[in-house]
Amino acid sequence: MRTSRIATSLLLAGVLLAAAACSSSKKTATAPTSAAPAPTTAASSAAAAPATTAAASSAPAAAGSAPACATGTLSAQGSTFQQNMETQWSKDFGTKCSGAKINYQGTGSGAGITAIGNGTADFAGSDVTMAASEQTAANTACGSTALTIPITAGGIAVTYNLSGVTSLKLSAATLAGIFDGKIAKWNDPAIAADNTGSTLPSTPISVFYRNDSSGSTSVFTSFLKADAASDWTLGASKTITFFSGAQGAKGSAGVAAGVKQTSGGITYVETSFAKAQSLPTASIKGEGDYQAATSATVSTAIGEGFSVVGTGSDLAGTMNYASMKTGYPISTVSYAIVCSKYKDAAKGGLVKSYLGYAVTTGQAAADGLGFAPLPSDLAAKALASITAIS
Amino acid sequence: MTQSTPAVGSPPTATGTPRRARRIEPFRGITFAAAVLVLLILGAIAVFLVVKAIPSLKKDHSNFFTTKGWAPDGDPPMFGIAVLVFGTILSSVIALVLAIPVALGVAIFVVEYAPRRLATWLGYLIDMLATVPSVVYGLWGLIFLVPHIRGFQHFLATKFGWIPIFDDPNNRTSVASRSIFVASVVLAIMVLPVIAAISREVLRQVDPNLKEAALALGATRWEMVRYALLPPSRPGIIGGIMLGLGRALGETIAIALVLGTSFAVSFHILQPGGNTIAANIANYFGEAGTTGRSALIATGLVLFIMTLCVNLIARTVIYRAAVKQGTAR
Amino acid sequence: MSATAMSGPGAASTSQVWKVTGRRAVVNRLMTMAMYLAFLIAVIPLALVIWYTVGKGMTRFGWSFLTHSMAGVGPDDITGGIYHAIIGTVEQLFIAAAISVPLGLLVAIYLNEYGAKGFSTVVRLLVDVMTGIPSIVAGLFVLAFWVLGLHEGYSGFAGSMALAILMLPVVTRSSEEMLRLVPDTLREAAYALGIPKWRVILSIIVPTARTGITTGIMLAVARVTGETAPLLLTAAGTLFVNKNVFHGQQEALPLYVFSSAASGTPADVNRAWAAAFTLILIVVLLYVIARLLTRRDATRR
Repeated sequence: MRTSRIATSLLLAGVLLAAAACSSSKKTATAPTSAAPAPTTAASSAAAAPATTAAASSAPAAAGSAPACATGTLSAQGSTFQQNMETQWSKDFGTKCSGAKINYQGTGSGAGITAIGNGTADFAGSDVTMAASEQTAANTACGSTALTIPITAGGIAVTYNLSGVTSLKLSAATLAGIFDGKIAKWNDPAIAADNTGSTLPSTPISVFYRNDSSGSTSVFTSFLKADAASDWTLGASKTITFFSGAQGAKGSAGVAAGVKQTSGGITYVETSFAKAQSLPTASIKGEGDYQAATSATVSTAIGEGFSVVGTGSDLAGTMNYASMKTGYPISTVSYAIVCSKYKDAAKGGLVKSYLGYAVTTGQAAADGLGFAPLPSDLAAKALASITAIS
Repeated sequence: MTQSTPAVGSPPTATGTPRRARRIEPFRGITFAAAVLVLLILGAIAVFLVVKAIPSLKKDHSNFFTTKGWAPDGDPPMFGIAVLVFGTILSSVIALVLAIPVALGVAIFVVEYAPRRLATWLGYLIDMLATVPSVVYGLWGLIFLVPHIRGFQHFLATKFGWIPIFDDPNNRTSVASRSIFVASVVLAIMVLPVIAAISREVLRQVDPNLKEAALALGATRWEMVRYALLPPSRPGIIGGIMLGLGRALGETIAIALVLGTSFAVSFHILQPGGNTIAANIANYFGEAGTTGRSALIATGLVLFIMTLCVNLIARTVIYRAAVKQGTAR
Repeated sequence: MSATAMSGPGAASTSQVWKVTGRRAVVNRLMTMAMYLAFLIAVIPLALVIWYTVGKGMTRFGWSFLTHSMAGVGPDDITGGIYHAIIGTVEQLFIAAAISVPLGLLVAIYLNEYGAKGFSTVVRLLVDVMTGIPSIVAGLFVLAFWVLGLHEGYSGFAGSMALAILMLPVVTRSSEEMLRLVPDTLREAAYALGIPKWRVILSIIVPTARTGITTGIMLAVARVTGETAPLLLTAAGTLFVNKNVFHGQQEALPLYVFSSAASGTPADVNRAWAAAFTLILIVVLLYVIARLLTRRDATRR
């Protein structure tokens, strides 16, 4: 009896170990070696060297030169809108400046602003500017003025999951109706009126929204408030209480994954997340005509609607959605919130080096990912502000 | 040498140790200090949580117990635990309703019905499943269960919609599945091995004479289970269920992954929405400011008190049964 | 109560026996089927969880997955691995055990060997209370007290403290149970030889209960290996290898599974399954080792 029990346990352990061994031997042969500067294996660090990216090799001529390489580790968090951009930069910057580790976690703009106020992040990502009380907290934690600097731009895509429907047009008023729960089916007359000539199924609409404090929510609802003033009654902020049938999910990735899983689903999310899930995006009609979210239309919209309101090195700005007439109407810049002077000079040097890379060479990576490069004059201003960090 | 020797046959507790022996035992002091330290740690946790919770409760501009909303960093701060406590209890209760019959069936099956060799195997399997991390259940729930359960939820809503909790106004179940029900199913799968493992141990400890007597009287196997096996095991099983409940109440990650949270109190368990204390802490702590954190700690305290009550009830039930059987300490 | 209930079928008059037996047989057969059914219902979801984790985990699991961190992994890359998470988990568990095992063992020794009756009952009750601390509350405590309160920042060590809070009561109670199993005759024999009590405890009682205590510790470690919620609030995770458990954010396996699952892109979900598979593998190994120790001990006796 006892021996059989031991045999049983042993057998189980053996099977699991064997399975692990099998799989690992198979994978070493086929799996591509990661470009990580790996900690143990010499083989993989050798593989890291030739991994240069398109972004690193094609720097835009317009922007100034990036500050020199610095090394160390940065802990940053915030906006999930810019998360994919940050991950790409972190990869490319790690390749360019070996020994630099940029750990950016997508926790939401609200969490990023809180984290820099708590002193638990070296810089924060946010799609929205800070409120006065948040600015005070950040200044206290920094021991110097906290600056808000635009580092990338992108469109909040309206992405959906509707089999057989690959192109969709939505006006601001229709969008307001959908996210208000008034429009509940895909063949609603309002949607049909936006899409004359195409037939839409009677699938019920499943709305996903961000249930964390989100810059994307703020941008999306600001757009609705500006361009569909008579239809949108829920206001504009980082957290919105949507109608009771809507499903909340955390982070840009969360809502995108939710739509991917749900036939009839719809949400608002930065374009790169729709791309990552291979979901189609709708053309949106704001003040102008229907526009698709592309790098070009977003850049145009930033040029039309963005203006800096901050003073000195602070480049906090506002988006005027009513004036985006030829660009994609739900566009925004996304900011890094940094200390103007870091208590730890090495940290300051690395922030300067990394963000300096981001607003110069790094801008070239935006298009391919589903972001848009900053207009060159804004990028130059951002670089000047970043260079002043110490 | 002789001084430190207690009288032969005296119990090895301090009460029986001569005074002089105690004095030359620094080791006793060390173990005593450890025990005191544990008390201090627990005391520190309790005091710290209470102290940290108070500021937010003072600032709350609405009733902490009845408000259905969460804006502790708003101006003015307004938040309440109504939705959280409701969702926590509702999801745990549904999970237990789903898990208890199955877990008991499994325990009885393993002890009485399964062939002996298989039973040993199954015992190990159940114990092992009780140690599978909750994040794995959460991952599975999110990737597999959420998309696949939609059809079943819609079926329940359309065929059994006349039962109030399965009611589905606006036909939401046809499109949405991140409901309290899904969360409860994941919880049920998680607590099932816990309840089954404890029940199995309890059932196994029933005096075999009792079972044999029942069979000798001509009882069928089920009657033996029903009248000889279950009654003496009941306190132990209830204790196991309460421990399972404790685990379900405090479960965080699986719910944070599976549930589409919202701040609404609704008995429509098939529709998306609802929230639990633990999931709210995990989702909200990052963006919470000073008051927000204090408010989360207040909810954590409420959760602690809830699980504490459940645990104490469980221990009392088990202890009383042990007293009855004369095995209590 | 059971006796009166039992008398029901037995006391039936002879004329009714045939009829009652028929009903009883049917009930018996139905309940037997119900038991088998319950077992099936329980096995299906649990088997699905394991099946999915192993099946999906295998698509990404492998040597390169175990030896690479997430450094330099772009948003669309399918590469990357859990090296940093494994380092974090091992360090955090080691420190959590280093805090909770000696402390828990000492408390168990106090409760079983020295404790005054009243005080022991209080300690025992409060240790039981501690068992009921929800893991997220333990994390919240360390976050508010250590990470933010003392401005220590996120670190693996903060995570270890939260895990230690969760491990301590489990280690204490299981060790106490094991110490109690040591027969009193052994103690008495040792005392009769005139050995001081502390030596009796350290060189006779604890070694006798050693395997049982080790098993309890292994099970406690297995239990906290999968804890995600407290680490989410304290260690906070990172993409990079951070070998310094005392400074800077650190990754852990359950955290890695959680963040990859929440991200939801196909590449991340594959990594999440593979990491979940690794996690289960570790937990099961700990469990099997614990069981083998118990078995070996039982066989030796």
